[in-house]
Amino acid sequence: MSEELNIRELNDKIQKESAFVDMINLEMEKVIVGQKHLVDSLMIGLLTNGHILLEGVPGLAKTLAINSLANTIDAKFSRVQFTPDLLPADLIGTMIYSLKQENFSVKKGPIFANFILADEINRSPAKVQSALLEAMAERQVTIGDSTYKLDDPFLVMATQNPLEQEGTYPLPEAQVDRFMLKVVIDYPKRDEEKLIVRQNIAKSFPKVSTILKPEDIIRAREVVKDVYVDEKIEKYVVDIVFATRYPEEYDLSELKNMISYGGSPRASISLTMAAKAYAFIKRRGYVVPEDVRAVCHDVLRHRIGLTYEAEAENMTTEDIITTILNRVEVP
Amino acid sequence: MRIYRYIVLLLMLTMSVNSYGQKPIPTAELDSTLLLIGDQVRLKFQLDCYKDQEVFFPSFRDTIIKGVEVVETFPVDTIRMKSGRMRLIQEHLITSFDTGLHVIPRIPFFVKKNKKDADTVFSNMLAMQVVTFRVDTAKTFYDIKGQIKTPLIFAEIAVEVFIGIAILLIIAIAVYVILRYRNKKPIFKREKPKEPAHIIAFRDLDALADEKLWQNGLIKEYYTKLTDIFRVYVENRYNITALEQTSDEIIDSLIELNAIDKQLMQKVKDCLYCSDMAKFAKMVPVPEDNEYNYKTVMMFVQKTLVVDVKSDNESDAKGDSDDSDLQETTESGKEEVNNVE
Repeated sequence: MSEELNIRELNDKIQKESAFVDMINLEMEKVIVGQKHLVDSLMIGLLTNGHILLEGVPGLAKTLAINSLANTIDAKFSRVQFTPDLLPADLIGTMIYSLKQENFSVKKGPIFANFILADEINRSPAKVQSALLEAMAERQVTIGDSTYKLDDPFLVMATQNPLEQEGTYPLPEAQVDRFMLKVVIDYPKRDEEKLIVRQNIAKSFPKVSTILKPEDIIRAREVVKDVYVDEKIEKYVVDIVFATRYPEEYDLSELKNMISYGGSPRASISLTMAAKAYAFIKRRGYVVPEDVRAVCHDVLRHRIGLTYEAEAENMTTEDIITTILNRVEVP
Repeated sequence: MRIYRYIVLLLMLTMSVNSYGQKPIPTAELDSTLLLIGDQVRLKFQLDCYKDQEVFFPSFRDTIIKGVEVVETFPVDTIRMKSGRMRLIQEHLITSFDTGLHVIPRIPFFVKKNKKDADTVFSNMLAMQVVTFRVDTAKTFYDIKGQIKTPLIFAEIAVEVFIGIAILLIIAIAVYVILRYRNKKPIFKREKPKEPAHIIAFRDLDALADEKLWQNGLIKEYYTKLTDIFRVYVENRYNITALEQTSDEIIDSLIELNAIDKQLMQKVKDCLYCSDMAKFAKMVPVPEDNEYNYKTVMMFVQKTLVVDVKSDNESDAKGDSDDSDLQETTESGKEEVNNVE
C-alpha cells in the first residue's frame, strides 16, 4: 500500500502534534467524571479558535470543566458571573481618573484574559451581552479612545441555564450564531455519578496540572488548519447545511414547515472547522464523514430556527438535525 | 180501448224502470261518523255502472268542505260484477281539526253515457261529529310532554352515511389526482418487480470491472463506485439505510445483525477503511489492494445473497440452474447461498 507523501507526512505530524490531546484528557479525567463529549467539544473550540456556549442544568460540572481546561494550560483565566446589574464597563474595563497624576488611566476588565468563563450569560441585559459578543467577533475592545487587542488564544466559554427563564435575557439568534458550538450537557450515568460522589466526599479534591503553554495551542491550531478535507466531504457539509435551508430538495418536505431559518454560511465554515478539529483529536490527517456527523449537532443546534408548527409538535432542532443526517447521502 | 190503456201503462212502466237502471247512484259512507280531533277516517265513494259508461269522480285538492281536510286520495278501484256491470270505489283519507258537526254535502259525479249524453248524479249527504278531549278541570294541569327519544338505528342514517363515504372517497381521489398531476407523476403506475439485491450488485460489479477505473489512475472514482455498490447491496439485502450511514455505522449495523461471520466482517471492515482512505485522504492503494477489495465486495455478496425459492424453481424448470446443492433454506422461506468462494 502506498500513500501520497503529503498525507503521510501530515498524518505523522498530527500524530506528533496531537499527543497533548491525550495528556489534556488524562488531566481532565482527574476532576471530571464522564462528560467525554463535553471535554471533546471544549478541545474543538480550543483548537479552532471558536467560542462555546454550554447549556445544562446546574451541577453538571460546566464551570469545573472550563476551569480545569484553563488550568491545564498556562494561560490567564477569568470568570465573570453575569448578573442583571452588570455593566459593559465591568466586563471590558473603564477609564479611571487619578487625582495624584491628574489624568485618566485605563483599568482593563476581566475580558483581558486567554480563557473567559461567562457564567450564566443570559442573566445580563443585552448591552453587556453585546459588549462580550463584539469582543468575541472582533478580538479587540475599545476603552475611551484607545483600542486594545485581546490576548491570543482568546476563548470564551459561556454557560446558560435552561431552567429559571424568568428574568433572563435570551441571546438573540444573530448573536448566538457567533458561538461556534452549542454543547448541551446531560446528567451523568449511574456509575459515573457514584464516582462523582466518592470523589467529592474524599479528603482532598484532585487538581489538574499545567501541561501546555498558550504557544502550544496556537501551533496546534495551525496544524489543524492543515488537516485535509476532501471535496466529497465539503459537498457533504454543504448538503447538510442546505438541507436545513431547503429541506424539500433533499426529500425532506416534512421539515419544510418546521424550519423558519436554516444554517448560515458561517454554519458551513464552523462545521468544516469543527470536523477538522475532531479529526485532529482522533489523530487523523484527513476528515471522514464520521467527523462531520460527530460535531454536526453541536454546530447546528443553535443555528436552526423552529416554526410555531414545530414547537406545537414538540419538535426540537435535535430532531431536525437527526432527520437530516439520516436522510442526506453520505459520500 | 181498455187494451190500449194496458199497453200504454206497460210501456210507461217498462221505460221508467229502464231509465232508472241506467242512471248510477253513488253512495258515500264514512268509517266512523264520530272522531277525535286530528284523527283520520276513510270516506268511501261507491258507484255501480255499466261498462260503456264513463264516470268522473270528484277531485278534492286539500279540503272537501271547510274544516274537513283530505290527507290522501287513493286511486279508483274497479270491481267487475257478473251482471256485466262495474263497481267503482274510491277512498279518501280525511281528518278534521275543528270540533263540531261537519256535514259533507252531496258530491256530484259526472256520468257519460255516450259522446253526446252526460248526466250528473249526486252522492248522499253525510254528517261527521268531531270531538275534542275531555278535560277534567278538577285535576292538576300538567305541562306538555317532550318528544319521545327513540334509539337511533343504522337504517335511519344509512343513506347519509353512504353519501358521506362516497363524498370522502371522491375528495380523496381528487386530491390524489391533483397531487400526482402537480408533481408531474403518472396517475396510475405499475409497480415493477423488485430486482434481487445480488443481481444488481453482480451487474454493477461487472460494469465496474469493465470500466477499468483504477487501471487508468481513477482511484477515487473506483473506490466511490465500489463502496456505493456495497452500500446499495447492504441496503437492499438487509434493509439498512447504508447510503446514509458512515463506514463505522454500516459495520455496527451489520454486526448487530449477527448473521455474518467474523472473518468476513473483518475483510469488509478493512475494505471500507481502505476505501475511506482512498476517497477522503488521497491514498493510492497498490493494484493488489484494489483487486483484493473488489474480491471482498464480490465475496460478501456471494456469501450473503438470498435466492427467491419461487424464481429459482422457475429457472430450474427452464433448465437454467444446476447449483441447488449450494443452497440452504432459511426461516424466511428463501434460500441463502453459502460456501461460495
